[in-house]
Amino acid sequence: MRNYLFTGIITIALGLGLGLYIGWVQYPVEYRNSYMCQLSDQYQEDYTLMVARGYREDGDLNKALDRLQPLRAVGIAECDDGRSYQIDNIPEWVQVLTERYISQGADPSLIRDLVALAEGFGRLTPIMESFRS
Amino acid sequence: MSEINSDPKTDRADEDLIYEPGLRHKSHTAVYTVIGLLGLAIGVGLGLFYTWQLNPVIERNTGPDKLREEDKINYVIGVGLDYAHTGDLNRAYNLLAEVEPGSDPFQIAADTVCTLTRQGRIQTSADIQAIRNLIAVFQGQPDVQANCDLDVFTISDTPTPTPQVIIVSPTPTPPLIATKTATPESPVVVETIPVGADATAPSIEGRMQVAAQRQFCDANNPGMIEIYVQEETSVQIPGVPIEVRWAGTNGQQSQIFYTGLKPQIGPGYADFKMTPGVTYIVSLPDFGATTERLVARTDACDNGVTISYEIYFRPIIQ
Repeated sequence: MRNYLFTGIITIALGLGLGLYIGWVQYPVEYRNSYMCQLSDQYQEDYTLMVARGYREDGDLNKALDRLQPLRAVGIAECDDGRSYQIDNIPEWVQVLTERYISQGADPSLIRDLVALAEGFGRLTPIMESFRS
Repeated sequence: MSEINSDPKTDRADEDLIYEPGLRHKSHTAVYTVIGLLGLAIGVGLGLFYTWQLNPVIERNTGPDKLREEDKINYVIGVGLDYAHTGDLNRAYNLLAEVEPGSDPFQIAADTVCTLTRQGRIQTSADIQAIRNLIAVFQGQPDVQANCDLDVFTISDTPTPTPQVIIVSPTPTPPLIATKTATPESPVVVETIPVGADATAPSIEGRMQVAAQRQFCDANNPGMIEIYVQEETSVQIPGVPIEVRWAGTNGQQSQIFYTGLKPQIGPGYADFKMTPGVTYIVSLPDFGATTERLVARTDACDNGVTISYEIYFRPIIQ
């Protein structure tokens, strides 16, 4: 009887390990309804650049702000994923991204698009001055 | 040699006492197998429940393809904005391909335009421009089917067009006086009226009202609400937002569109196609004018043709 119990415990433990491996590594939960704040950093930057380019076309600052709002992570539990920079304040995010691109020596045309939006938000800093259009 | 005679009764009793390790081993193996499989199944089940339900992997690097529908639309609009500025179709194609891998990226743009149109989310000149940008992305691409009317967003070859209606009107001519010399042809004045994105700011102030409304039957184009927004002098006004509301299957629905998007009919003209049996209310949200209920009746015209309405909005004279 004791052997049966021992066997049961061992196999349940093995099964549990297998289940954890399958559920976390092999076939993890696939999110299909993610928020924009869950996008990878690269996609968030891409999207911000797209909106900045749209702003340069239509000059509609409120619309640009509206379009960037979904990037905000505040109040969305799923977005609390421990990344180093959580977007809360949109103008601040545009400023941070613009300064990061400038310091990384990114494509100047791309920086100019972001600087235009940062300036629209009143976030023009000295480092951005030389990229004003 | 002597032969041993065995007693059959004694032999049977002996057989019962014989130890048969094979049989017991087999039954033990079966029990262990059952316990093992059961334990494994329980363990895997618990493990999956924990990893899929209680503590799933946190999605840290989501791509556009995993976004909820609402945000996918925002992302696709962003691609249109990007294309309008860069004119880089390859970049637009690649960005759209990431929204739904395996689908035709240009079709995604077309479907998004139709979704936005149906949801009545085109409310500002920036929205109209965003739609035009997206149309420019898939315009001219083979095998792209837009399942909605895109004529209202007519665009030119450039991504940021400004269509204009040219109205040619002769200047008043004085009464003719007989002379011996030939009369020179009347000079013409070419007046350009911007329509579309540049014309969405109405050129009137104050409140408006429904000045006239009539019903008519048109078998060739049934169930239309034809709207004319005019000044007191009957001059048509382009770029006026019009809202149509109705009770749809998902609750109250509405759509906003603008006058002047069918300049071939008139700069102050806009229309809306009704669904038979549905009741609509048309209003000018910026000017406080609202029609009565417009029922898309099918019993008022011959052959079950859906009735149409013609509505004229004009300013309230103080």
